[in-house]
Amino acid sequence: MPATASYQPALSGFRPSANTGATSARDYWCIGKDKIIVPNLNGHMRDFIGSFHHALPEDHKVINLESYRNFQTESPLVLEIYDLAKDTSQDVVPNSDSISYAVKFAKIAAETIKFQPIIDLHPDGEISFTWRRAKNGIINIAFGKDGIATYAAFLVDSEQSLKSRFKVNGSIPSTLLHLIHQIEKA
Amino acid sequence: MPVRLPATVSADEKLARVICDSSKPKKHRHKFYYDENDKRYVVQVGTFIDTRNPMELSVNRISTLSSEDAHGLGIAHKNEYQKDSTYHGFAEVIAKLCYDLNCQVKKDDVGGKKPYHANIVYPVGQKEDSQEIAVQLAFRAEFRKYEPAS
Repeated sequence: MPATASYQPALSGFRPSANTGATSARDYWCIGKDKIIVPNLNGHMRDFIGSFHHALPEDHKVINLESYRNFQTESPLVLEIYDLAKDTSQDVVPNSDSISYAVKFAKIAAETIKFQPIIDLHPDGEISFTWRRAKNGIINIAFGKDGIATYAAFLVDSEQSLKSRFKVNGSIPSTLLHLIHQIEKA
Repeated sequence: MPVRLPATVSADEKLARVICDSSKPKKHRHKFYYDENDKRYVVQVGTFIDTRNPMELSVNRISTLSSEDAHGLGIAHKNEYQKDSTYHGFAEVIAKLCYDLNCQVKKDDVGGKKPYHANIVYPVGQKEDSQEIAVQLAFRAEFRKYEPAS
């Protein structure tokens, strides 16, 4: 590794779709234009940024981007789920299956819902999304490890409370979509 | 003179749910955050979810306390149960809302050791039944941020 190499953070949303063994979506660092460093499985890249100019830690790989032409961007929501998943400082451990289903839902939602939800971690390890507007109401969806998502909503105008569950697959139930749109309206 | 609150939690009592988490803003966003639309801090739905069934949420009855003393109970809770975390404040709800949502609020003062302590007991049900209650409590709760005097 040349001592003069230039290190820059990778672009936000830049994530390899190939299996690189990386756990973080945001901690890729570019070296020049054609190489990146992938963090180790603990994702502790920032701990030794200062030493990069001298030596590359043994547990890191340098990858030529030419080999990874199928890089794709992820939505900020998906990146935030990955961040939450690797955060070991919490008193609750996110359930890995819940993470997968949350990501699956987030990718579908990115195409149809503009209003970004807030991510939450329930004490039972389920990832959840909340859409909330003070004047309209609130909806919370939690992703179970069995692929069943449960949701509950409260609408201010009608003072109506609604709840249900659905199987996370390739689409969003129309009732749920309608509720989210009611809450996100300006 | 030891403090003794009434055995029944009245509908107009204020209840405080302690919020502890990481000291890093990005991380504690999963407990509470500043809502740009609402122009105030709000708490996450998960604050009112627990793993027990029927769900029991630990709260303090704070109607008779100053803000400082109410936060003092929160800090004591943190020191006892979540030593390595940071105390951020509490989510305040009125007991009437709990009763309206078919919850019970039961005094649980641990034999007088914790005179202000009570539990919000949810009806037995599925996850979405608990969520239904939790979303309304979170939506109506006021977050009382702890800001220690510097």
